[in-house]
Amino acid sequence: MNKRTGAIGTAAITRSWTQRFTFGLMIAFAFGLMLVGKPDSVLVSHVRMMTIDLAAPVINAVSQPIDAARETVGDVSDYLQLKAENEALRRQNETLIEWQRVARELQAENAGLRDLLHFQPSPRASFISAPVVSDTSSSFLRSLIVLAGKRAGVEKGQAAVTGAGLAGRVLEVGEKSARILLITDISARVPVVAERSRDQAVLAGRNSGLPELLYLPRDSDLKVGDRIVTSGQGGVFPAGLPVGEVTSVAGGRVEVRPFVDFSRLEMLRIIDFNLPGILKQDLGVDTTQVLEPWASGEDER
Amino acid sequence: MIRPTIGQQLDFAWRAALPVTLTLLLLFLTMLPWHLPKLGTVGAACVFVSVFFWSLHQPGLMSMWGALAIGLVHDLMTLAPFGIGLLVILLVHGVAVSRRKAVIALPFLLEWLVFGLVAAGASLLTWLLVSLLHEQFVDLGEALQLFLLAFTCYPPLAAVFAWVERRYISGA
Repeated sequence: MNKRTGAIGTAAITRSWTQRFTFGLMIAFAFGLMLVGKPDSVLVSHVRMMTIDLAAPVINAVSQPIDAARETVGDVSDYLQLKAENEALRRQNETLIEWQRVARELQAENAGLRDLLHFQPSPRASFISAPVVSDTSSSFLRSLIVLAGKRAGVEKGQAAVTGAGLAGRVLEVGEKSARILLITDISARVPVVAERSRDQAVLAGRNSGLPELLYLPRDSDLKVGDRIVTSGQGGVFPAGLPVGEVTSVAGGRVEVRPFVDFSRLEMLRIIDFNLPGILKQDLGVDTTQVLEPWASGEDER
Repeated sequence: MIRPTIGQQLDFAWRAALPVTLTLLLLFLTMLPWHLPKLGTVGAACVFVSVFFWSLHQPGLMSMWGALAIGLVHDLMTLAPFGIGLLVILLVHGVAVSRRKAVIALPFLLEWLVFGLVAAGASLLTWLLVSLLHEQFVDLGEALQLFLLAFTCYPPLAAVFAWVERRYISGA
């Protein structure tokens, strides 16, 4: 081997070792990020919201033609089903008129009872409508990005709802956008109560369409079809927001189908119930633990 | 030696940036509100395909720095547990580059099969790391979906990438 090829050989080896070393450093960096990012660190959250703030308006602009195309397709199929839909709406209208009558009666009765009790009404909730600009749900995460942030008055911990019920809560807020953690995400925990049996439980997401109920009392009397609503414990959500319906009770496992159809979310209402919620402050701790103070002492069911 | 003009340099630069840009573009496209199920998973699957393909066919244009950038953008934009996507994408790149010479000589069907093995490993590793971070086993079916999506996306995406490579990179 002459001197020249020897020098090139050495240079190549050194370069290859430098590359391997750099690659090793990158792998270590990724592990480091996992550890730093785990407890929902403030730094990671800020960097993320800055990125999303930059991207959200672009995503929104690009998605306008998509939305328009989808609406056109929707309009055409709507016209085709106009007659059937009209019939269905007429029937629904009849039912609703009956409900309206019931509601008026209850409203009057409620007003009377409040007078009797000198009831102090809770502060009125205010809401912000926010378009969903990106569905970032994947196999291992259920979350959305909405185009409304600090400037619109969105704050961490506020409830995100649709007409059907609870969809999630605000996890991170940027200037113009916010990230919503859906109730189906594996880290979501919502204190709930069964409307009929009054059994208290915690609704835990599983990253699938069907979250399950944890910490149910042993003698719980849940049946398929029971409505599940928020219990208001923990001060994150107010009591009584519709959440979902029990779809299966088998082998100690109770599954709930949320009322919200997560595949068609276009608008969310971010509601500020003026609750002194624990999630509003950045505690720098894993919020799921704050939500389940009883979890440490008791086994799952 | 003739110095390339600014126009030539720019022309060279955009062609060289194609692999990384295309990957990011695919990721961005899956983030738009199409209101289709499992788009996030499709995004992750596309990134696996793209990083593997380009690391194999144009390792100079999909360097580890490119993989690092894609991993970081992926984790920041998709809001998945931070660092996991980056680690898995770096490893996909590392495996593709280290076995490059052997794999590139194979016929396409075998290349696809090798990608299948890499995608299976990547999906399982993602599942394992997410489970570790959440301190409970998440649904293994999700890892299976990620793998199946990546595996089925490989031939069509590889065909498009191969066309881009012929038309704009090696042919230029």
